[in-house]
Amino acid sequence: MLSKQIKINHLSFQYQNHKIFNDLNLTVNQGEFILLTGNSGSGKSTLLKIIAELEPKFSGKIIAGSLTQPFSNWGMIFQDPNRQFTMATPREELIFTLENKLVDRSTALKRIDYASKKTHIQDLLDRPLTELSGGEKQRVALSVLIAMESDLLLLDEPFANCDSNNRKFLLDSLSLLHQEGKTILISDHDFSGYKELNPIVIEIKDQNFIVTSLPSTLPKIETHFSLPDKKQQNNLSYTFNSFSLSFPNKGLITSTNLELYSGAATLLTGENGSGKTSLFKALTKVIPYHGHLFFREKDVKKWRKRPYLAKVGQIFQNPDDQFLNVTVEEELNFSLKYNQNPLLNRSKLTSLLSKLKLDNLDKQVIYSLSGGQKRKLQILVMLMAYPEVLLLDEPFSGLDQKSVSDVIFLLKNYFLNTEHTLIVISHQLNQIDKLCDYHLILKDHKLFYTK
Amino acid sequence: MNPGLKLFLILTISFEISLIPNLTTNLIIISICLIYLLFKSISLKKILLLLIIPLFAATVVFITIYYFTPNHNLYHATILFTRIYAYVFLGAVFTETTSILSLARSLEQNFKLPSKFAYGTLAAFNVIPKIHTEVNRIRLVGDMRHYHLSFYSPTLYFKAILAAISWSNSLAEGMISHGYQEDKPRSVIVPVALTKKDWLIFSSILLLLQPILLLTK
Amino acid sequence: MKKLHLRDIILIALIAIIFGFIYLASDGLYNALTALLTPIGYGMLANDIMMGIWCMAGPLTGFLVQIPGAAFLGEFLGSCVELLAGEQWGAVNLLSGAVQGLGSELGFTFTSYRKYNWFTLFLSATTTTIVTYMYDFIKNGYSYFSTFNMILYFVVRWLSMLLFTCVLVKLIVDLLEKAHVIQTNQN
Repeated sequence: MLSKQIKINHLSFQYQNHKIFNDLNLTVNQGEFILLTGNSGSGKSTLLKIIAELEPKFSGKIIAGSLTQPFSNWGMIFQDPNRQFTMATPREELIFTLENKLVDRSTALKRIDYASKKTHIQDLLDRPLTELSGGEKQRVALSVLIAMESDLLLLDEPFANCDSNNRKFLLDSLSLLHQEGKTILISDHDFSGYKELNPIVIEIKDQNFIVTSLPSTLPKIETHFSLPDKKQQNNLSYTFNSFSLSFPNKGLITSTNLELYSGAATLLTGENGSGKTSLFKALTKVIPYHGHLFFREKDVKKWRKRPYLAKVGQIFQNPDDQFLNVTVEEELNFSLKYNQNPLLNRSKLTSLLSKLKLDNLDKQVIYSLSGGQKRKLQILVMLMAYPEVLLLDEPFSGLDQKSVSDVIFLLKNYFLNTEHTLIVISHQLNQIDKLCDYHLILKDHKLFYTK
Repeated sequence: MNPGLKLFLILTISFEISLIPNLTTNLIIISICLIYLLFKSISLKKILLLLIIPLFAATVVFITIYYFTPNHNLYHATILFTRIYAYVFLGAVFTETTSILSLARSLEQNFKLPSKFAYGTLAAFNVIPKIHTEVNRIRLVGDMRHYHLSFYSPTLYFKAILAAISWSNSLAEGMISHGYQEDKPRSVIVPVALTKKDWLIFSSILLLLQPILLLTK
Repeated sequence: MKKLHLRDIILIALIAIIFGFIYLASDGLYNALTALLTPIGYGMLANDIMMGIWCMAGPLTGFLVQIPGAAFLGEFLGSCVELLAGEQWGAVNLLSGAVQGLGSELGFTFTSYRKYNWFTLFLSATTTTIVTYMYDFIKNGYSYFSTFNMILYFVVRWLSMLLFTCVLVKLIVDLLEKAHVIQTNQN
């Protein structure tokens, strides 16, 4: 049997005005296992979509070079597990997929049986997909590719919403599929668990590839935090009293008593899927909780939504969510119009913009900026809204080290003081102890301070 | 009964009673639907709800037509009142006895609806809870930035449409990556039957309806 | 002529769904208006006052996805989703959805799917008014009204359409154009 090859020849690709790839060359042989790494925004998703021929579409285009991709029965798993299913339940999705592949009924039933056993989703087959956890959904997504008998598997940051058990299970399953001879390309920013798979590691950097290898020891960033001293702290922002949280149907936090202090920045860590973002949702009155949660000595349930949200703001994971206007100029003018921050005004803002290299962007459509530019603007915009509590959900993703220190500078100089509170969810721990005073960890359904 | 054919039947009847004002027909339709729903052992609570939900709209129409039109015609007012009930009961007969998925499959298999319509709509339908969250987040961000977005605010719609564009891209990519190809044949794993009996029920109900509509008042 | 692809259909359905959510927010206003106007005999006028809000999805999708049938689907798929959601009004809403969709679509048909500007929206608002009014004339008993009221209901509905499906839709479309997300017929 002739072995198949994916060939990328001198490919240059641009998205809107940004060049993503410049003169890219890559050959993938059948049966290889490739791990793509690189900063967020470096083009990992784009590369996988180009190979799947999902790109170029409306805003992206190939400006030079070519792609040869002989695998017609490819399948893909996406980063956001919510956005890849057509049907309401795993069984219906499997049926839909196999109908697309012109599989007849009796073969289909066998394949569904096989694929659901392989991915341990037999009990989930008839449950609504909207009720499954991120990890469970990705197992369903893998079962679909197994049922399709795809020979090329493309996985784009598939573990971003998986807990460690599901991550390990899925990696083991991929290992088995690799042994069966499947070609696998996966993008991930986390190297753990790949060693046994012996992957070819390709880093995307500066619009091109570097072939590297897995780091022999995973870099460990040492962080040291102090524990809050109850006697010294009298400014409470939140008090948790027998607080518990479940979402959607999964218990995330059980009966917690805790105090959060104003005038401090607190780092919140925990595994993927442990419930950090859900905790933010409870803090912003998006989802309900059990027990008591007091903000400024009044139960959050009793706060009316609008006055509460004027005091509790959030930096969302996806910067696009934060914006309400079209161009950079409009967005900033809007913020200035509703500015509450005494430390910021038009002239101050202008000097900050040039410091952050965000000047001369006035007429640009905000949604077409680079990830880093969007992130910095997003933070500026929320600094001007100036809530008492600011929740930050992965504020450093997609930023280089210089930008990380810029962001920390902004938060320390234009936000943090005795009346203000920061709570930061972050995977990225470089420089984090320059910002955060305390460290909260969410582990085994418990939320507690740690060093 | 075949879901697609059932839908056409319900639609045809609804359409006919919209065009032809006829009290007897409305009452007969309501009674038959009610008996059918009871026969299908729909809970009494649900049936009670079916009686309450349209009451507001139906009463408003009745009051307006009976008290505030030149003829003060009780007969016309009653027709419009019962018509609204007939719609709701006809609708309930359909929704209470048919699954969405079987309707989509029936329209695709029995009535040659292009699969992109059937599954495109279904894909959108199945992410409604997520889309709802997304729209709520836009409002949330507005409040966090001290600007309340209400239903007449262009910004709210603008942001919502941007979200819809992004979701439609992702969902289409999701379908393609699960082997879907527009205008290509698909196999049938869960067949939906369209039998002679279905056609017989369909045509006899419609045949029976016509004389009632035309000959009674 | 270009035709609707999978992505367009999903987009149109999603927009129909999203508009559905936003309309729900205006439900309170509708009920209040109806309750307020019923004692003076104009309860049914609330329907005409709100009509423009309920018909925004059509012209918007017609403008956003510049392909024949898009405006119709924007309205019609909205009613399909209500049916799928198991609403009791579902079946009859499918008819209203088709009528509203037809009204919206006609405005674009009359400009041969070439012009996409104020005039197109004005035309679409007007055709929607005429078509939906004719349907309500028969279905909702407008034919029993006095001549004065017949005209009044028509004018109110038209104004509502102009305000929402023409002015508000144009404001939204301007934002979308500025953000470069409208697919035009030219490319």
